[in-house]
Amino acid sequence: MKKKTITKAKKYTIWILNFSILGLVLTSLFPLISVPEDDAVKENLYFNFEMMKKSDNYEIYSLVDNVNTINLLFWAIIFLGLISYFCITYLTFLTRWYLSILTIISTAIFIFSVLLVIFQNNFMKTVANNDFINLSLIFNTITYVHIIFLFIIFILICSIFYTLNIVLDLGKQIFSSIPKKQLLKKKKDKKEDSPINSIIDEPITQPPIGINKKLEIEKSQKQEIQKIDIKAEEDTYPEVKEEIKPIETTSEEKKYVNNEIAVSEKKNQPGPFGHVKHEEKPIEPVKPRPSQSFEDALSSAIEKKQGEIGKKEQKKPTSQETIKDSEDNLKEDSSEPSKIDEVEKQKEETQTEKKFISTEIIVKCPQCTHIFTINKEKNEKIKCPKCGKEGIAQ
Amino acid sequence: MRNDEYELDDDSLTTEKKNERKKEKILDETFKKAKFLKEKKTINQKIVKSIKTVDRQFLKSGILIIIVAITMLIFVEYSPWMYINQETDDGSTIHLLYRDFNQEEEINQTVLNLFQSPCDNCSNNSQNYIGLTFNDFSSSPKTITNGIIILMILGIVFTIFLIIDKFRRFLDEIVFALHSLFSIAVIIVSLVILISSIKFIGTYFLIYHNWSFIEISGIKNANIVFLTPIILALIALAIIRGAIITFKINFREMENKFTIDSPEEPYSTYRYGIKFR
Repeated sequence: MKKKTITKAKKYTIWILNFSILGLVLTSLFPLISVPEDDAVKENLYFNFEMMKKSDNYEIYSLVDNVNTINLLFWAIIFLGLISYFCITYLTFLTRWYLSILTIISTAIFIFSVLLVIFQNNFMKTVANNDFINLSLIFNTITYVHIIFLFIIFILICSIFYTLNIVLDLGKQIFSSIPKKQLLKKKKDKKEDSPINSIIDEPITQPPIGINKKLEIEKSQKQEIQKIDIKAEEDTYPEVKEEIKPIETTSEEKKYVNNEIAVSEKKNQPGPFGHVKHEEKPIEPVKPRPSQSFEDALSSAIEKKQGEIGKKEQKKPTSQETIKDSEDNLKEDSSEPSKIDEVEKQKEETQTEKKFISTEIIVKCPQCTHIFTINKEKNEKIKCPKCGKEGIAQ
Repeated sequence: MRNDEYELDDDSLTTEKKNERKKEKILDETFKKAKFLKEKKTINQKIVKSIKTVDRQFLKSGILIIIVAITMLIFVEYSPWMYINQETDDGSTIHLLYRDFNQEEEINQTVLNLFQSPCDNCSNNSQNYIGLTFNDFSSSPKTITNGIIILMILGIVFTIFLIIDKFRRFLDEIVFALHSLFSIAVIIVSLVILISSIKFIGTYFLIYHNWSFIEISGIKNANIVFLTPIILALIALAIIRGAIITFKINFREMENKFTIDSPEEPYSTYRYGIKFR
């Protein structure tokens, strides 16, 4: 964008410079007016600018001022064109405000070119209105002044294109500098004057915040959230406190699972989770599911394994407890056969679990060394889920 | 079991091929990146070289302006401003008019009539028919000499500045800016010289149109050449053209210095041999 405008501006300034230099030269070179003589020679006497200056006739001399102003305007345009070229070569690469400077210069050139057209037209009109003076002819109705006027029109056209090129680019820059959000906000404000929208748009219009300020805001927000939580716990949900307690024991449970020594020490005790009532769910018998693709089977197996390991971790201590309790109960009351049956059932279930776990094999892929589990019962082709290598597990 | 092993071997072969292709692509990407980085380095080197050459051009331009100004001054002082080959009944007589020529010299009256009309019965529209007076041969050479002196001063100042710049390195931007300002001043001065010499050249149009009026003053067959003004005008035009060219050179140098137009972005990423970004 920038390069295009600069190259165009450069081109137009060169054209303006060339045309204005030519115009200035031609005004002092061409004969501008002619006066009919009826004395010794009955012909038209041609006058150029220098000759007009030296004329004794007042009517001819009065036109000198008009031509002088035209010359001055030509000089002004040349000077402005040179400055604009200087700005293009120097300021465009060093300042951000080059377009605004160039717009000022280009508009000045445009104004001067318009003035030039006006003065040239005025000169032609005054000569045409005068019966004594005529414009110097080249051929039929074409005069020397018309050639100069043509160059002036060229200057005007170039100046128009120059100003348009720069002004349009400046406008684009200005519009691009305004963020789209602000424009949208303006549109919204125009369309809807509701208070909700203004509240939503407020943070968008906020100025850029420093890091320290951001941290402060975050802190304040956190504090507010904490306060709201505390209030909610106190006022609206008072019963939650009691329910949260067993959740806190989960950390102890994990410690218990990981640390076997701790478990052995605590075996004699009534139980670490004495106050927690675990519901004993009947374990579902494991059935090998017929799968269409191997991948589905593999994924289902992994899921099952993960789920059952979790259950096992939870149920291990409970089963021991129940067995102990049941044995004690048996010692105390041997007349209750239902409890014994239950214990035996549980023992059987644990054995089935172990069997199921033992059927799963951990396999290492020979290509990508990816480790994954499979069911040994399914004597099908194995495919690595990572690299896709196929084979059969032994 | 053996069949399975064979199958595995086939799979491994395909994977090896895939790996090789991937490696080749990665190598291509790295090679292209290295190439662009090298290109960027070469572009920077080129800019440095061009700036050095421009420095030399600046030095030449200053000296060139001084030389041109001296030649112009020689033409103004020693070459004839007007050459007239008048054909009379006795034969052809050549008259050479220099600057500030003395009217009392042995110059034919018919030639002097060109600058002052002898017609008594004529109208008071004009004193002469070619738009030139005796004063023009003294006033316009003065303005031209003043302009030439200004050109010489400009050239001397600029060369001195560049000599200082060689010892005490100034910023490139300052040098470019000064050079463009120098060229602006040169263009304006040369325009003044051009217009003051164009005044003489414009007489050709008047001689063509007003020849019947000139004939009354006594000149019937004459070849008039304004030698020095034509030469000065041509030199002035050449200076203006040269100054505009230096403007263009300055612009290009500034463009190369401050905006590097590399053919492609050096840090562009490639994936699988195709330009990604």
